[in-house]
Amino acid sequence: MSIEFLLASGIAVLTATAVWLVLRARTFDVILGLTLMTYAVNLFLLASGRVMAGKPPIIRDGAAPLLSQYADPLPQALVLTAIVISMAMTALVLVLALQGRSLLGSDHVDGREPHR
Amino acid sequence: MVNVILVDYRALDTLGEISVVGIVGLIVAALLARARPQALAPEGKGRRRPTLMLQVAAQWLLPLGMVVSVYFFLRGHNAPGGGFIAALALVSALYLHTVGHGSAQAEKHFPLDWTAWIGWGLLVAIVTGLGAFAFGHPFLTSSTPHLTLPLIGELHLASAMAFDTGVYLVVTGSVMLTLVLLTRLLRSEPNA
Repeated sequence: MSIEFLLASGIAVLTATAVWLVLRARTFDVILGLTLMTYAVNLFLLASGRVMAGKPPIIRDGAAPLLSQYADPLPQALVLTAIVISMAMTALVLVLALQGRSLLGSDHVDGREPHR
Repeated sequence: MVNVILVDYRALDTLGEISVVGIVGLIVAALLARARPQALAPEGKGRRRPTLMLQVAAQWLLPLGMVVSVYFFLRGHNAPGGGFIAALALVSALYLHTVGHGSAQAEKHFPLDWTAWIGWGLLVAIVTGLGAFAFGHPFLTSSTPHLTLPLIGELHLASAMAFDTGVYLVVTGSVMLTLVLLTRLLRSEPNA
């Protein structure tokens, strides 16, 4: 059970759950699904910077400046930006969902219950 | 290292990011100022006081949380920390105080205009970036003057800390604005 396998499985489970939730088309489920999808995509970006323990993001003398020798800090910094922006957008879409529920009276993203 | 990337090497990305956070805060304020969402409060529950443990914990954790927030902010440059997590630590402490003491009490203790915090934070961040023009460098170049203070000794200050202050103000203002407005919604419900 290598760490890459665990990380990939985690991303897969999160994405699958997120897609199922979003397709339910209820406002709160969609928000929850988008949040899980955010986690999955951020983990994916983080994994692109090589998952390893104990290697500082500094190029040492003698070692080749390849990605296998040091941890890439740039994806981590960009993921931080992504997390903060998605937190703000989640807050916004929550307020929109609240307003929608109160104005339209329905939970469904279409504003009315789907015709069977 | 990551925080240095955020406030120094890729500071323009961070400036865009705090603009987004600030704008979202203002949009939430605008949305909640008009129509008030109806179906919010659970049915049939009267107003309940917070439990004693929560009240006491909130009272003691508020100053501690503020100190932790300042600590995260100051250590941000080359160690885990920085403006974002410091702002969220401050918001956690303030909102724990709100939850433990009730929002009426909390608004009496902290009658702050969070919208102004968003504005000031963006101003500080942009002015820090423009300050680099004074020295003939591109926008948002940072410098690290070394100061020698009499008691403390040598101090390594980064001008990125001024930019981080702007980040701190914007994130605190935006998140607190959202939380305070949503709390006020719950309070104004007739059966809450």
